[in-house]
Amino acid sequence: VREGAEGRDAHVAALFDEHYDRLRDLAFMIMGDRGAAEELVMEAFLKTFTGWSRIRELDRADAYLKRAVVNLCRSKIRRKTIEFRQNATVYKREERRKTGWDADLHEDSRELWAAVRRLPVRQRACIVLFYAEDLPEGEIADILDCSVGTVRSQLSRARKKLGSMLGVADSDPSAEEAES
Amino acid sequence: LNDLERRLKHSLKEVRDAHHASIDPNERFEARRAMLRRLHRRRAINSVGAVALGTAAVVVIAVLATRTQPVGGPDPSKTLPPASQPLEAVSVGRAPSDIAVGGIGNVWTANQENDSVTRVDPRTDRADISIPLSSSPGDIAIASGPVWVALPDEGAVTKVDFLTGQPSETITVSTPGIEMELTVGPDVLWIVAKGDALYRLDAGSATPQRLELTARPVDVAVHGTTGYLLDADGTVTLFDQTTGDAVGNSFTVAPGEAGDLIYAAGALWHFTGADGNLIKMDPSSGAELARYEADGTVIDLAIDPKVAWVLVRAGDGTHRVVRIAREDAAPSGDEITMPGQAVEAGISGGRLWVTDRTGNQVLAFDKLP
Repeated sequence: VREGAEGRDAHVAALFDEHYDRLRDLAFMIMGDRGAAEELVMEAFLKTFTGWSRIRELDRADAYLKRAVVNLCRSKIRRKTIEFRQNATVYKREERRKTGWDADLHEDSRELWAAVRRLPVRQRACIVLFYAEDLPEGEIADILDCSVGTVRSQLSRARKKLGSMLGVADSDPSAEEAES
Repeated sequence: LNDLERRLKHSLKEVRDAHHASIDPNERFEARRAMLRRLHRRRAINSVGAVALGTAAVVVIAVLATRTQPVGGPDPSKTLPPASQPLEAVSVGRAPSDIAVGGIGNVWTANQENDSVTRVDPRTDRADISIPLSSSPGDIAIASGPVWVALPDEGAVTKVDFLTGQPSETITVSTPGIEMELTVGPDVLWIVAKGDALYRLDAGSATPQRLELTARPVDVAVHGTTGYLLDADGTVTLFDQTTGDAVGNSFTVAPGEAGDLIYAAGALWHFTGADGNLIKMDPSSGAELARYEADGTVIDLAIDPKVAWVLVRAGDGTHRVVRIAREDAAPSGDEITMPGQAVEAGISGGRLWVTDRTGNQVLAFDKLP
C-alpha cells in the first residue's frame, strides 16, 4: 500500500473512529480494567500501523486489530505487567474504587461477570469472543492462533468452571464431545 | 443453547453495553489525537533508530578493528550512559511542589506560588488544565475519583473533578497553618494534620472526623483495610480503616517531623526526609527487609509494579533520582541528575515524572532507561 503520509493518517484516523469503541469494550471484557483497556487498544493501533507498509490487506484491518488487542491482553496478563499508572503517591493514596459503570447491572449479570473474570485468560478470551462478540469458532481460532478444536475445548472447560463457580450444570453435549 | 450459555450471552452483552454506555464519546477523539501523536513519534524514532543502528554498526566495526581489548574485557557498567536527558519538559504553574498520578493516568502538580493545580496528559505531554485555588496548595492526592488538594493556609481540603478540572467543594478540616498529608483509602480520605491529629473524611461527607490515635502524627499509609499512622517520635500505629480503631502491635522507626511512610510492593517504605536511609519493612512487624543508603537525603520515592526510583538531595544542593530494585532496594546503576530543584516524583504512562520547582516544569524520563 503506497499512500502519502496525510492519506495514511486520515485512513488510520478513520479506522480508529470506526473500531475504537468496540475494541475498547472487548479489551475491557478480557482485562476487567478500563484504563488498561484504553492503553491496550492504543498500543494495538500503534503496533498495527507503525509499520504501515506491512499491512497488505487493509480491508482486514478489523481482524488485525482484534487479534492485536486480544494478544496484547493475554500477554499483559501473563506477564503481570499491567501498567497501573500508579506511583508511591498513588499507592499511598489510592485504593481502587468502583467507577459506577456497573451500578445498573442485574445481580445475575454481576455474579456471572465476576465468575468470568476468574477464568484463565485464554478461556476468558474464548468466552468473551464467542458469547459477547458472537464470533464463530473458526474466527476465534484465527485470532488466538490455534485450532478450532482448541477453541472448543477451551470453551468447554470454561463453561465447566463457570458452572461449578455458579452452581449450575453445563448440559451441553458438545462440551463432552469437545473434551473427549 | 443450555441455560448457562443463554445466561452467558445475555449477561456478557449486558456488561459490555453497560461499560460502553459509561464512556464519554469525547474520549475517543482525545484518544485518536493521542494515538496519532504517538504514531508519528514512533515512526520518527524507528527512522532515526534505523539510521543510528547503521551508523553505530559502522563505528563498532571500525573500533573493533583498531582497538586492543584490555584484559578482562570492557566494564559493562561503563558502556551505558545515564539517561539524564528528559524526554519531555512540560511547563506547569509556579513552584510545583507536589505531584500525583491517577484517575486515567494524568499527572497533577500542586503549584505553590501561583495557587493552582495543573493537569498534564501523559499521552500528549501537554498541560491541558490549570485550576486556580483560593490559597497555596500543599499535598495533592488522587484515586480513581476526584483529586484532593490540601490548602494548609485555610486548614482545608478542596475537591477537583479529575475529568473536567472543576473544583467542587472546600471542606474545613483543621486549624489554619498546619501542614497536611492526604492519603486516599477505600471510600475515605485520610488527612494528617501534622502534629495535630488524624482526620477521616468519608465519601459523600463534608464533616471530617477527628481521631486521636497518636499525639504528633506526620504521615499515613494504607493497604486493604489496614492503615499505618506514623508519629514524629517514630511510632507506627496500625489501625482499622473501617472503624478507625488501633489494631495489632505498633512498632518504631527512626523519628522525624518530616517522615514519610508508603505502602508499595507488599511492604512499608519509610524515610525521615532528614537522612539518606530508605527502609523497606515488613508491614505487620516493622522488621527491616531491605535498606538503601543514599549519598544525600532521601526526599521521595516513586514506585510502580515494575520499578522504583528514589529522589535524593545531595549535600551540595543538587538533586538526582536513583533507580533501585523493588525487592532488595539495591541500586541498579541508573541515575538521573536533575537540572533544578526536584521535589517529588511519580510514575505514569511508562515514564518517571519529576517536578522541577525552580524551572516551573515537570520533567518526564524513561522509567526504564
